[in-house]
Amino acid sequence: MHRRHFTLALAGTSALLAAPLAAQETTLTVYHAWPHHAEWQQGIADRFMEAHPDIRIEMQAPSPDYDEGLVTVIRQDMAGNAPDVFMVGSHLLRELAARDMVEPLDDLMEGVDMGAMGYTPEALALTQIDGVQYGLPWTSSTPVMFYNAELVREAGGDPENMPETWDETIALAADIDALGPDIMGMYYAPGDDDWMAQNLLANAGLQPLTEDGEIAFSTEEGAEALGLFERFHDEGGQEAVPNDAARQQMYAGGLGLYFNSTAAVRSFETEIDGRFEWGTAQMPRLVEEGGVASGGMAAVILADDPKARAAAWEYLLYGTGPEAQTYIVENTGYMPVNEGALGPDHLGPFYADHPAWETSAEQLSRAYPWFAWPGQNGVRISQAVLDELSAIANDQVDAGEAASQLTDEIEQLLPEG
Amino acid sequence: MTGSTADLRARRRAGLLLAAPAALLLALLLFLPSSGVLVLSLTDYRFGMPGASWIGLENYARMLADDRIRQSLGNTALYAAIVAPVSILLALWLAVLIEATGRLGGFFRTVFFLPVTATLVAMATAWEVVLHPSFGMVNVALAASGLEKERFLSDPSLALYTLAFIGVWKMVGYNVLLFVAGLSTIPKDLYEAAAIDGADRGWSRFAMVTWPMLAPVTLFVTVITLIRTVSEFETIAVLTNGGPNGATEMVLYTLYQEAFRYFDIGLASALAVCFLGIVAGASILNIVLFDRRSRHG
Repeated sequence: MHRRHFTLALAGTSALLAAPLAAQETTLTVYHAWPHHAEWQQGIADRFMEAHPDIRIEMQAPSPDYDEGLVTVIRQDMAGNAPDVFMVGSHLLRELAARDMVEPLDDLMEGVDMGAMGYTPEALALTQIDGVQYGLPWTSSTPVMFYNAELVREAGGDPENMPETWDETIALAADIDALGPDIMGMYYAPGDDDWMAQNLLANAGLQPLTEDGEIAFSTEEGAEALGLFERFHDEGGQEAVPNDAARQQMYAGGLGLYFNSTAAVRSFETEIDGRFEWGTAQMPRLVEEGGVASGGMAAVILADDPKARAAAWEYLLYGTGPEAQTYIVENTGYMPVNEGALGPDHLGPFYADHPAWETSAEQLSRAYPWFAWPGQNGVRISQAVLDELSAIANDQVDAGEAASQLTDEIEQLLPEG
Repeated sequence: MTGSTADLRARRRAGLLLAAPAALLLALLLFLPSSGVLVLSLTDYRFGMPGASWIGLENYARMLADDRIRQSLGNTALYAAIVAPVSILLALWLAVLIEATGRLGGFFRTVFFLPVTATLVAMATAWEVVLHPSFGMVNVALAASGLEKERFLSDPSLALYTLAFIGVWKMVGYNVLLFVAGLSTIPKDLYEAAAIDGADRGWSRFAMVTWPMLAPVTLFVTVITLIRTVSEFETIAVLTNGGPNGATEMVLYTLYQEAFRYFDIGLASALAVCFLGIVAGASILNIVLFDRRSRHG
């Protein structure tokens, strides 16, 4: 009898004690793109909640891609229920800033030594607009060269020493293409926006807009970079098929060289599953000082409430910290945004076992940030570039013509002055 | 006398009362948003931006000057010009055949109606596999018979025709069903009378009885099919994204891109107004023609 009363009383007291704790809990809604990222995004949230019991993370159903994610968030913002934290494609960050949906992080970063926490100035620059920090890079990637080592060897190449210039690479692709009618020499993915075209320009040491504001395609070097895409088809054996079709051909062992974001490395590992030897190499260069494009998603805070902002800042720091970044890299093939993740305690042993995953991080020193076109027509310009690549691939225009058409088109779409 | 006038008035009032809720909903859910679109088409509003200014008819001028949109309109017209007549004539032919098969009629009706019931997005994915440039069934068959493989969805000179083929496949079942329904309403004695007059089989029977009796159904099917073909969206969104290089852009897809990818609501609204005009025109034509037929026939 007594004992039961005591238990009841204890239960009552603990309920009373628990109540104020529950009231203090902050709930953050988090929204990201790509359904196939849901698992690791949730993984980070779970780990975070374990370390921070007072903050609850609620994941919203992911959007199919960056563009649709942005549309949804703008709509939610108009209805007054935008998520607290949003992972935006870093090239779309300007769209949020233009709509005053996101505030600079100055208030939260004040007095914080970001460098000591493993954030390099280059990494932080990925999510700045005109030098102002609007978010933190959540994931980051550069495009790399994937190769089928057996086909490379058969064509007389050396998988340990893959070519570093485009001329040699295209020659190797031509040799692979000559191996048989069912074998495609190379495939340079045109992508879903102008990112892969930006990479060709970067290989030639160019940004889409040069320092004196000239459109890169109007320069001789820029036209040559765009001309690479024509050479891939004319000389390297690339066929004008969709990216998915090329990927399937790679998995089937019928494609020699494949160029795309390093994020593809994980599906390569699962799909090829040791059936043949493959690897990754750095992106070839067109000029000595040629770089590579880089991209990824930026984590931004949309919440206005100071308490929610503080909690969201904790989440951003956690997700971009060494532990979470190690987890992201191992689950995606992206490269870490935090230097702290590269050490022997984190990714060191993993990279030793999976050399194909490290290539992207190795070329980070020559990475250009994901260029966002000024003004309101960025996405339209992206599409124009993509269409022109498609026209080149299908022999509708030659590269020189394409470069001058693009220059005209972009000129009209850029803001005046 | 006075009693029947009061009666008439009461009936009118009841009719008005009964029609009112639907009319109100129609006004709220259809006419109000549509006029909103009309207003937006006169502004330079961008999705999510705080303000907008009046720019009059500039969006319409931009629309007419835009090569992309002209290409999209041309593609839509070509697509409709292929899909509508083919799917209507094919459906008519199949319906007449199915009616003549007797016991197997139910089976064939189901077979041809299946594409209508299936989720188009899932079906489009199946088409993607069938038409794969290297492993697709069609290309394997082409290669086996010594022909060149084709890039059905990524060759700019083929992609629109591939979509048109899929469009016919999708549209034909529904039209067959409508024609079968139409056929079943033709009185048997008409055929008997025609037989007595010598039109007892084949073409003459079809031309003298079936075709004239099916005219109202055919008119309806034509209008419905035209509206559905100019509103094509799903196959583009799933299979080609309007590519390669705009070769499969059609009005609704372009509209969606302008509004929700480029955030150019003004231009998208202008396009929507034109689209609405075309569809409304087709519907009004339908009603007028129907009305005339039922009055004379």
